[in-house]
Amino acid sequence: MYCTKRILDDLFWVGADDRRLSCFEGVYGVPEGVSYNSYVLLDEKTVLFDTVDKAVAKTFFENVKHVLNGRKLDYLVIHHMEPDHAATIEDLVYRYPETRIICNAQIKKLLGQYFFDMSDRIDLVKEGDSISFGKHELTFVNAPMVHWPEVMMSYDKTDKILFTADAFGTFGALNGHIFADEVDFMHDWLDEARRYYTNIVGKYGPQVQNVLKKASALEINYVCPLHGFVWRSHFGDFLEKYLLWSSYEPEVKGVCLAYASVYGHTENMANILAGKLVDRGVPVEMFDTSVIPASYIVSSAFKNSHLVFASTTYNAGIFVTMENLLHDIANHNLQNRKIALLENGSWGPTSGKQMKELLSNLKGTEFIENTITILSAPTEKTMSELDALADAIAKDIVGEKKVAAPAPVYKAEVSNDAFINLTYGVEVLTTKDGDKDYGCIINTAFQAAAGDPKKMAISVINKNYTCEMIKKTGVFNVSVLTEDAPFAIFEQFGFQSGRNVDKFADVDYQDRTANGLRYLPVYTNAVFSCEVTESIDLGPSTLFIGNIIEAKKLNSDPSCTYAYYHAHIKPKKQPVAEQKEGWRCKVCGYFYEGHELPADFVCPLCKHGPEDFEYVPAVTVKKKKGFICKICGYFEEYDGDELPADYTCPLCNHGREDFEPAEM
Amino acid sequence: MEKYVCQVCGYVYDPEVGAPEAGIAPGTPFEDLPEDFACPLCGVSKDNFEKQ
Repeated sequence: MYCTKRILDDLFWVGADDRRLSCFEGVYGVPEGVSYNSYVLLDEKTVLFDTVDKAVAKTFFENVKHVLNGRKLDYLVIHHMEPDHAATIEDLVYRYPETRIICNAQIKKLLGQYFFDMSDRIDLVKEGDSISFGKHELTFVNAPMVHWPEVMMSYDKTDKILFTADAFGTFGALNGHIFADEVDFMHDWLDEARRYYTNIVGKYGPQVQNVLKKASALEINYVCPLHGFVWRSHFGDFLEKYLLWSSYEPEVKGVCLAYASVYGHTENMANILAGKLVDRGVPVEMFDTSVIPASYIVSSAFKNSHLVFASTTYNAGIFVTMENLLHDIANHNLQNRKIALLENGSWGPTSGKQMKELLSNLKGTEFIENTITILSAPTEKTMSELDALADAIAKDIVGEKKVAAPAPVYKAEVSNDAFINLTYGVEVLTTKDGDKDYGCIINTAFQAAAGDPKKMAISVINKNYTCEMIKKTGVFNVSVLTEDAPFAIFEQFGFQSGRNVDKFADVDYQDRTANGLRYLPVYTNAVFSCEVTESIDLGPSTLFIGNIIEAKKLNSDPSCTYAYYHAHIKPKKQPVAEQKEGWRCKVCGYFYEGHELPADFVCPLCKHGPEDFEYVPAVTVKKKKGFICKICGYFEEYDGDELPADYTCPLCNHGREDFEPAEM
Repeated sequence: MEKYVCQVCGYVYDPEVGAPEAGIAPGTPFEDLPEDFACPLCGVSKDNFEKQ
């Protein structure tokens, strides 16, 4: 039964998964399976792109038949002759004898070698040739040695599809998916995609670069490879990796550490080194060459900037699994790496020298000297040599060795709760400019110095108009508020601005000190007059320091402290009072709720009748919706979910974060 | 005359055969190949060849 996937309205995937294959290309383990991709385009002409491996031929032919739906197969475009894609061509031409084959000259030659001379059904194309199939026009480009010499790619100008043969493929069965965006490719698939590329195509970096150059001129919306996912979004993420891999640049500044150990001593040395590297902040991937197939290590060698190989000496040479690995790495044309070597030998350690010879032809490669040697087992001397090697590698990767700051066990936090416990008085600050009087509430007045004259300091919010006026005139009075100061004083001096109103407009006191400035003779117990000698701008506030030129005690009433203000003067959240509609007994006060008093009603309390009841209309206290300052109690009437971001309390300058919703 | 092998794909340039598909006549020694000579199989440049 057919099992296909729709890519576009006229393009279908007719390939299949293979989960039984134990080694791809005879050597690469594929525990996650592999997919073979083939595509059918239904245009005015029908076009099949490549075929599949012989293992999945049955499903492939069912798929093709289903998608063609009775139409003939006009064309087979062959991009690549490797038998995991080409094996089924022979059977295809038997089933669809009228199909024309579109391919280049080298593909034609290989068809003859694998199957038979197919000249009579081949339409040859050269680099840059185009063919129209109706709506779609395909252009053909050669991609020699990506990864075979005959490889061709094609570009559909209409839907901007690039058929890339093996490039941009990956190991792993598709398992019901077809698009890369249907899975978390970068997280779940990148390792297998890297192992696929580095092992199959890794040697041909320059050739991949040539193809990428050709492709960079094209607008590409879909990438259709012969293995793995079709790309229709975020292709740049994958392309970025190809640019690194094909230029032999590492993805990660880190270490690929592979060892060959027979009885565990070389392994022990490798383990110790790994620990030292990670202690220094170096990422490490580690492999036992006896257990892990070379393809995984080759992949890691392409990923990481630094390679470390540790091998015991065997038959006067490199241990066989390490020798195979290093040949593999050299054959894959890896370049631009820093390599460190460790050797072991109970009588004639020689693997290090031979590993170096094997790797010395790798371009752009540097050896981190010197090779570390152990005789049977690591010693204390080995430990310091491993330290030195770890330092050298860490220097490249992490930078100069920094003295690690001790992890703080205590994180300094500025908690708002603490501030409420500072003890202050509360004062009315006044000044005068010409014939205008100004004043505001502060809680920051203190005697700054003894001496002659004594000094006073105050801190005033810059936004307060009084502050500006003190800057201008250089004089101020401080009136110390007492416990009996009502909230109205705070509203009078704190809830309005001297920019707009005369705060003293309705007062019935006219008292002034010798300097001509007003002070409060009510709700206060002392007054101080000062001349500013210096001022310091602290950002939101200014600190004024002044000489005290007059100080008067008015009475012995207790001073209002900041805490007292919070506890007793600042209004608490009020319950909203409401009067319901009804009738009240004028004699005893009993309240009957309702619109009409029954004619025969008798007051349950005092037994008087309806003639002694008065009507009480419903009163809904108009609730004012707004926010109340948790610091000073100021209520801002405001209709909205939150105060504006730049809002500050007119009384205490705190921001909206110190307000909570309230109704008054 | 010595044969030269492309180190990338293994193509063998035999001077006695030349490379007709690339317009190189039989009997052309490797040294006489033009500087822009490309491997007929895989397209890489002349400096990727080594004596067999």
